[in-house]
Amino acid sequence: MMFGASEEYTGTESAVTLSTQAFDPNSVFEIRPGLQIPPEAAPMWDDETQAVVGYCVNRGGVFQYYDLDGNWVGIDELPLETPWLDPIDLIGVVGGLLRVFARGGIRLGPKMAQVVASKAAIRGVQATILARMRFAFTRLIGRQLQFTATTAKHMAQSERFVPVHILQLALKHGARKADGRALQGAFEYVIPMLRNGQGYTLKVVVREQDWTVLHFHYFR
Amino acid sequence: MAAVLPPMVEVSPRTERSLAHTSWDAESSTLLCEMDYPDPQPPRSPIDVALRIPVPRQRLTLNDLDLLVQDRRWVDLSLHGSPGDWVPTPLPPLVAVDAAWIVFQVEYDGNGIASFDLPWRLCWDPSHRTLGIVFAERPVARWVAVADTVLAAVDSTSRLGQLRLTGVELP
Repeated sequence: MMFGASEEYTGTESAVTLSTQAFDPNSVFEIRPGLQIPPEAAPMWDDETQAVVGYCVNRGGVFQYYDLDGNWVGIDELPLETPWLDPIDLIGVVGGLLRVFARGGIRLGPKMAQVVASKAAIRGVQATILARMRFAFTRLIGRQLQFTATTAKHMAQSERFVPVHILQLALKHGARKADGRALQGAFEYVIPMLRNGQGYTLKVVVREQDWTVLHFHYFR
Repeated sequence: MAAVLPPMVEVSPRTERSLAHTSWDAESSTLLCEMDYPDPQPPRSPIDVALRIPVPRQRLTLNDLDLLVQDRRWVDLSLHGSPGDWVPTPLPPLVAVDAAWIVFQVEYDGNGIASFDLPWRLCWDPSHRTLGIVFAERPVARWVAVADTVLAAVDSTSRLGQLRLTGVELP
């Protein structure tokens, strides 16, 4: 060892609050925890929170809804005479309305998908279902994360940025192990993540004492 | 991850200045090397300027090394890890290294990301404050300077073999 522990990060440095975040309106980030959410589920993009807040599964006109934690939050059904949609891969939620983007929307991102949407079927979604989804989202971002100077800088770069609620989902559902540097209180969380439908592995190192993100990084 | 071999690169002469500033963030255990290009940038399309279309950037990950590139310019380089894992190795200064652009010949995905899971070795020479990142234990065909303190080695098959960062200050 060339360096003593005192020359590395000690886990006690002061954290900074995130002041700026890059935001890419054409990126849809997702973490699908566990096995609860069926793979064919369509993500539901909420214009109000600017995030995927839940999932919808259409099985013969019966719609099952899940929140971000994979909890089932409701079911509804369409009248038989209303063929709602073809196979879908992104749904927008505007107010209480669901808006179906054209197939391929997930790869284009919500803003571009709106532009090229060939069909914009709109239907109501039960207020309670949407409220449950938004509640799960709000609960996720309720715990404030701190950032180091470096991770704050990376959050300001759209190429490295990961939405805070996705980091929170990684901390909640990711595989946890002690940080490679064996520093007390620092843990690494690893979980599969999707960005615009593309699969990655997200790694987050956090100091649990004050929930400071020491490092995050996603790769294919 | 995409491949085991290091990425192919294209080397071309560089006349513009490229200055690098390296800093160590102990809290994040991350070495950050940011490049600056003080010379005037090539003009952009008036349409891109009018529509405020940003210049696309790509992100290349080589293990825990994260490199941001914009066209042929390297924007920054972020290396997460513990200096305790860096192997003490003499890395004497190289002489007569040509300034060059290094463009990665890799296929980025739709999000502009390419990843390589490479075997690597991190070497540290405290007397020269130099960090060497060795991706391939193959003979170096050519060393080039990507920036004043960032050197890259290319092997005979035009693959990136090593990176060398000088002027690395650790507390």
